[in-house]
Amino acid sequence: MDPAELRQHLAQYADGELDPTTAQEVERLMASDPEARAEVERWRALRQSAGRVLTNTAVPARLETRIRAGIRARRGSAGPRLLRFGAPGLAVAAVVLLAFTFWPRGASATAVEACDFARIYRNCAMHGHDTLGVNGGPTRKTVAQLRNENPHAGEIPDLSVAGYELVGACTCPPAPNVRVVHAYFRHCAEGNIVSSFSIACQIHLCNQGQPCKCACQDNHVYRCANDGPVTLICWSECGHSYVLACGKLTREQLVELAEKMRHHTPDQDSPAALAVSPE
Amino acid sequence: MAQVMAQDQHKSFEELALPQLDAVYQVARRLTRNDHEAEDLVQETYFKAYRAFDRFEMRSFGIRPWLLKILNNTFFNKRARDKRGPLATDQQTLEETITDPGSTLPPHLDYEHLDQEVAQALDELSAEYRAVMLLWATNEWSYREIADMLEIPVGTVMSRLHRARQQLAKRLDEYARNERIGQVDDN
Repeated sequence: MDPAELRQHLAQYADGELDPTTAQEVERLMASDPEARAEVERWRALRQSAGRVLTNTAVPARLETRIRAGIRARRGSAGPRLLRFGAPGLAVAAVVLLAFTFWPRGASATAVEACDFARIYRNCAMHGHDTLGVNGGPTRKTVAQLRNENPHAGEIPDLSVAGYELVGACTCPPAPNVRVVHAYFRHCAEGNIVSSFSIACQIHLCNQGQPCKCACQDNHVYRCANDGPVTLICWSECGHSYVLACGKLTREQLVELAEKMRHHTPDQDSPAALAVSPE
Repeated sequence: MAQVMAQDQHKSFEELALPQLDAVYQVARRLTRNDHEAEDLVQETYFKAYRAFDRFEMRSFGIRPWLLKILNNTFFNKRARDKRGPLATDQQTLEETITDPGSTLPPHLDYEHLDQEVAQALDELSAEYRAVMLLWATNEWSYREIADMLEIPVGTVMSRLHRARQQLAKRLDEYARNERIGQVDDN
């Protein structure tokens, strides 16, 4: 190679990426050309500087704690579970539902009956809470994988930071023009079930505290109460207690709520027990 | 090395992976350019790695390249999802259509005291270029190993590295001009 060609390879030489023959040619050039030698030194200095920039960043102390806790929770999930997914009649005493909404500023609210959530839950249960195929493959999908594969799954919250693993997901609209993604989570260590309904519009809840008279002919009584940004709806059905916490929540609030739900029992369905900070 | 690897095979995930937390976080922090996002990314990377740990076979450089591979995959998958559309049809094809930035040499500067400028220049690179540069900056891996971690061809690593280095050199050259730092005679 002539010197002009060799100069094109100085950066690669500095990285130690040239074949031995070309490297020797570069070394001969450097021996006779101080500018070539200086350029190699500058490429090396630039790489070292970039390396220093990288290593100057300190890791937050809480991160290792969070990761250790998450791994412990996941390891614990291999043991016996208090509640079992797929066998609600045997073990589930309480089902916790989270509904969170997000909508464009100024959008009008769509009326949704409290029983609509119960209907979604029942419909989804008929197909194993998993039309989106979370459990379809050899390994269970994560929220991130599901979001990547399915445009409907974009709004599923990631509750893994609170120790929950996604075990199913489906799309069941409660009313025309209302898009809902229903996700089913299980706590890795304790087995608690949490369902979330991600709703892509502003909703107005009807029949608070009154027997439901909606189209699904559901005669259950839905007790409702407001607490800050969250509306709680509680009802009992077939020996199960359901608690639905509904609101326009941030991701952090959702995770905080899921964490509180973990310690929830059917007797603790007062709003205060589940309160989250105002948005 | 083989003995070390054999010993490592019996170590737990925490014993192997947590000592790499600094290195993994440092790459995540510069890749995302955001503290909170970097923490989430690292956490997700570790949980994914933990779940897949039984399928991990020790390689000559241990667990760090594997963690960084998961980290990069997670980051770019999330980015593609957030964009809610196809990711630049094919980044490699796109890069081929971009005119070569030309040849700029790194200016004569005191690189020992230039970390802030280099950090800013790194942050201004596109995520694809930044990912290559960050692995390159650790000074640990060859182009082939970087290609393996990012799941791209070696030629793409080389072209991204070339372009990224050119951008860095240009940025530092502008800095030198703005600061009126004079040319140093190498002789």
